[in-house]
Amino acid sequence: MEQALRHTAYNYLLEKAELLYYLLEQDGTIILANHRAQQLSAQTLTGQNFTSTLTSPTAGFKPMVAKEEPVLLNVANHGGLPMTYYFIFLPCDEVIAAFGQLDGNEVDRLRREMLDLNNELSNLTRELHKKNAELVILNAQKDRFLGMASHDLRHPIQIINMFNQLLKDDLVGDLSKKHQDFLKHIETSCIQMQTILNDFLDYSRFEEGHFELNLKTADLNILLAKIADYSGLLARQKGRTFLYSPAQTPLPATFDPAKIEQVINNLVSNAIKYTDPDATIRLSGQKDNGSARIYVEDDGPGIAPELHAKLFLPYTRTGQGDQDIDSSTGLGLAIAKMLMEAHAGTISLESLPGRGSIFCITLPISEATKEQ
Amino acid sequence: MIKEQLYQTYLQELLAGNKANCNAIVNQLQTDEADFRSIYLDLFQRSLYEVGQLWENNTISVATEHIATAITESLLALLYPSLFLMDHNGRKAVVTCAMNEYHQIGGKMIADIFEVNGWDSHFLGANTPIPSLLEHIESYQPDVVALSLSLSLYGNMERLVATLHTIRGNFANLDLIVGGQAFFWGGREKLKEVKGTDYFADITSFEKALPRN
Repeated sequence: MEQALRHTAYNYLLEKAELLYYLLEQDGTIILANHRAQQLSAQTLTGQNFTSTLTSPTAGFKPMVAKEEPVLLNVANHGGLPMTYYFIFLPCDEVIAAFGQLDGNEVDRLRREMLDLNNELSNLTRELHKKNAELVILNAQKDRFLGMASHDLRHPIQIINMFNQLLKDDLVGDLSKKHQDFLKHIETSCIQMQTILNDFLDYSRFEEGHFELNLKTADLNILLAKIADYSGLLARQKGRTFLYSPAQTPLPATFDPAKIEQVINNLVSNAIKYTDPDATIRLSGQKDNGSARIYVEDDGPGIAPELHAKLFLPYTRTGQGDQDIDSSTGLGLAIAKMLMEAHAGTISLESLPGRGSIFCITLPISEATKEQ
Repeated sequence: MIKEQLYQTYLQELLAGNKANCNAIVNQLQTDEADFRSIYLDLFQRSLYEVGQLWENNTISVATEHIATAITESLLALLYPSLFLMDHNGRKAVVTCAMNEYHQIGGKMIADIFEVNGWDSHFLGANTPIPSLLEHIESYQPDVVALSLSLSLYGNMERLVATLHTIRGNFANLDLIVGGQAFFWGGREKLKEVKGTDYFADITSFEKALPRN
């Protein structure tokens, strides 16, 4: 019976056991490998050297065999990660029986660590989603607050402006130069405050998606000519040279005239604000394949390339110009970008320090006339 | 309600460890605007209970059970963008699992139910050491602490009751809630030892009892 039992056990070891079993020559050549060892290797092992089944170099076969303690060896696993087995080598007559087994404690430790890490990851994911949701709510609240505050401040500013005008009209002959200047400063400040409030209102409306484009198909050259007229006047008042180069061909596009005028005005007023009095500003238009391109160019101080992308973010300014007189909100270009994107257009900047700046907006040429 | 055929398909994919296919099923349910409660209860909870039974019956290995749990946990995250949209009503909850309890999905679902009912819930995760839990309660000042227990083996039930005693000893008036699969096999009588502890047999009865405003 004992012999039958040994036979059964040996067959089980060869064909079913999860242990690794190799029967080896004295030099490590594999005489026989069990099913599990073959499975890991996915190649015929008989005739190979035992060390060829391992992933990392060893000090040699004989030193391994000489050890009394189990030897940690990493076995190559076909199609998977290497597996660590603890081997004992039992000499038996002219051959060596090698048994490799997994360390249950190690496997359990790995399992616990993986569970902990997975739990931690999923909990952090939950926290992240919660924080994101809170940020979305805060952002919406901020925009609503901006909109409400701007809206509520408009009326008092209009009142101030109105009474300022009345004072100017009624007292035109009676006021000293000094007092007339006071009223002018009040008027300028009111205009500045209104511009700031309009920016805030526009931005919060755009962020909330509460704006509509009043689209019309027209030749952009007509709008550009109108802008050039009053912008040129304004620029010359500030001592700048203003040039206008209309496009050589019509620029038919579908756009909201008021919004595109707002964008171009913002670019032109920035050019005036951020350049020296003897600067030249040029407004021009051009057709380029399927796009209408409008350029606002200046020979001012230029902007460093690392600032270009930031300029189109809300509440960002270049830090150039006179900070004492720069009362802008930093929203103009962010609004311009939103408006151009709403038109399926683009806005871009080319600029280097000392080399001036070229802002370019593009709009798709109107389909109806593309075919012409 | 999740259709039976879809549930069975999902269960097979879960047992096979096919995360991508399970993802696809949940994404489709969201597209079809299934209520998240039916996804939580009729898909996730039901399948995990079944996975647990298969493991207990030695039909599947512990490795398969772990993978199924990990996949389910990752699927919860698919629903988070739509769950965390409620304005908070000022009430706060801390949800955690008992010491040595690695099964945290039930507790996490409770934390999410708090959130959709306007509570600000902090989920501390499985196996939270008691000193950390007490510290967190002290700083966060929740209105409720909820503890989840899935397996009553290995002395987990006794540890849960000990934790409740410790919390009650430090915070005399704090509302305590417990629940979890472990109580299906008893243990509720032990909760009477800790004054002011409420037990809820399932997520639905818990949500019904939750004050909202």
